[in-house]
Amino acid sequence: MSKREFTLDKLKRELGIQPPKELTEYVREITTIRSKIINCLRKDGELTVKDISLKTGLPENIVFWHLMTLFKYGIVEPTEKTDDGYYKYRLRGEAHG
Amino acid sequence: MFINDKPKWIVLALESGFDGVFVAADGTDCPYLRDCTERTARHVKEAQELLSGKGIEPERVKMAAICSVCGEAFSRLINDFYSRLVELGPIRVRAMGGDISQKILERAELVQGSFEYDVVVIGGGIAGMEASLDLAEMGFKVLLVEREPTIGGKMFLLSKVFPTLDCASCISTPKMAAVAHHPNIDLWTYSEITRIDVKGRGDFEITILRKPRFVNEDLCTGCGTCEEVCPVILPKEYDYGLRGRKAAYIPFDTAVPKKAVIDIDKCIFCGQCERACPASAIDFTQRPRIYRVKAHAIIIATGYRLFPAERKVQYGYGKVPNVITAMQMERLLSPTRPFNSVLRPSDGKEPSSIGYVLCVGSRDRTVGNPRCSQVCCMYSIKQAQLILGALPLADVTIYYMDIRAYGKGFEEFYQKAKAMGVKFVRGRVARIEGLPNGNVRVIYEDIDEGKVKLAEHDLVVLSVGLLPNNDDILSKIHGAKIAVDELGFIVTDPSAPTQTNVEGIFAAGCATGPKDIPDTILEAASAAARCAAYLRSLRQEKVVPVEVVANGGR
Ligand code: SF4
Ligand code: SF4
Repeated sequence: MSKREFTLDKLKRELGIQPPKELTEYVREITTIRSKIINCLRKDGELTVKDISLKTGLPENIVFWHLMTLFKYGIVEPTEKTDDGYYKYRLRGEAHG
Repeated sequence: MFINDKPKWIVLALESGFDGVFVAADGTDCPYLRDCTERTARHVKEAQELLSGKGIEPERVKMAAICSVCGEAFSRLINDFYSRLVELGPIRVRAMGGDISQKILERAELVQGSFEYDVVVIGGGIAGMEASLDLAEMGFKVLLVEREPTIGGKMFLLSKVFPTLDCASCISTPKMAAVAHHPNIDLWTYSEITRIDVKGRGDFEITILRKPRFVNEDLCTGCGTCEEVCPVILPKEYDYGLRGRKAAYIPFDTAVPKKAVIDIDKCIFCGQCERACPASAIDFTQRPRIYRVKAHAIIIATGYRLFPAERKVQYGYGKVPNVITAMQMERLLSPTRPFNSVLRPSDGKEPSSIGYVLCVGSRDRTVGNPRCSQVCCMYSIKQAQLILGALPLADVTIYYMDIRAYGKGFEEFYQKAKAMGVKFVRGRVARIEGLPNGNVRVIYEDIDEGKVKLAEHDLVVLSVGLLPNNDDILSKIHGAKIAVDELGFIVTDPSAPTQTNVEGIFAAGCATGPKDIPDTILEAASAAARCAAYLRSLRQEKVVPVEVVANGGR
């Protein structure tokens, strides 16, 4: 079976381009943040933004931004709301931890 | 570093993420160094040259000779500099990529062939869609050009319309579909007009750059797999940064066309999207295409730009996380909202007290916009009602100068909000500060009581005004000059509304001034009717053929 040639390889070859270093560093950083949040939910089940922030050491606004991105991509879902107005979130399709 | 390295310090600061550098030299009478101003100016000039070479805007460095009594001049200079930096945008995002799209642009190819339309409509928001549909229904061949990867403009991002509270996307989505399917309309999204030559009566040559999506539109099914696998997460423009999107993305579920696009400047070339796409639609070899299109008339429907709230430094937007704009609140209230409920961005709390500050960037000479934006009072009242629907226990307070409820049903709508419990405070807001618990403090002058007061809210919404969005397109016109008013909105003939000072060029919607949706639709229909009459007169006078046939595909 012949190996499929990807158009991306062709572009890279023709233009001799690399992604900028700042961008790859940024992607590494956000990937780490995202996995920290997912791992935390996998381990502990249902958590509020504050819980995740305490467990991961990430600022609450960063946790919330990533949670909402995960929510929109269908990876995370809200469960109940606490009395002080915070939602709890869990990974979709995972049982309570 | 040595003294002669000073220009490099400036460059280093910008490369390290500072958005700008202000250099304050001593005045010319400085007893310590008499040529301080000249020396500093040399360093600054050198730094600016270095920056240009690196693709960073030299205006990010500003210098002034300032002495100890220049307090007022200093604050004015800093404010102007700050405003310019806000317009330039954050440096980090710029520094990421940019070079790649430049290299790709160099590969652009000119498409041979003749492309002719009765009319080119610029802008695929509600005004542009309406005008295109009306003209297409009358049998004219229309080319609708939209800069973004989808049509729909700002309207399809809104929650509901005032005062009827009809769902905004329920009105705009069918129109978007109708535009895409009309046999007399060719729709070019992700396309930029780079030049318009006014050659003669009913004779315009328009140069259009169709940017590559890096996705074959004929093959893409809009399945979203590429978006799922892409590892790059960036602030999503359509949600005003409230959440992320990927470098490979579909702008919206209801986007037209619903096709993926790759943000090449933010791509790390990992190839995952191409390997995962089930339709083999990803094509990184796509090149930009340049078209030269002939048209007999033009309709400008470029809409508006929101006032950049960062410019009101004292209101803390961009620094205090729970200060958001009304457009962000629109997103929170819309059916396609970025969050699972109305929540505040700092920690996801459901706000129990929300404050609105009206006239942010409108009726304000200090930011150069003395005019009322016409819609802010009413959209704020609408949002207040919708918030009370979504969060029945919340308190909503609106700080206003005066409420302008001038349209049909508007006064009743205002009274209804009051009856629902929305609190209206006649007050001028002086400052907004963030508190350690995420809450927001509003310091305002209560006009009725003549006192300075403090209030605390969970979330504060800035009702930002509407600014013209024409500069870019108007600067591309050669052979004629479109008249604009002192703020930059297109001037139309009062006795022939929608007709600009250039024959054959019409304007509709917020391109001619801030207005609400019904007025925008009305004006778009009027522009279409006027344009149709103009095209018919050209045909009768045999300036143009009876029927335009050439057609450039999707
Ligand atoms: S490019 Fe491929 S993976 Fe992406 S939406 Fe289109 S068909 Fe799906
Ligand atoms: S190649 Fe680019 S767009 Fe495709 S998945 Fe990788 S980063 Fe995303």
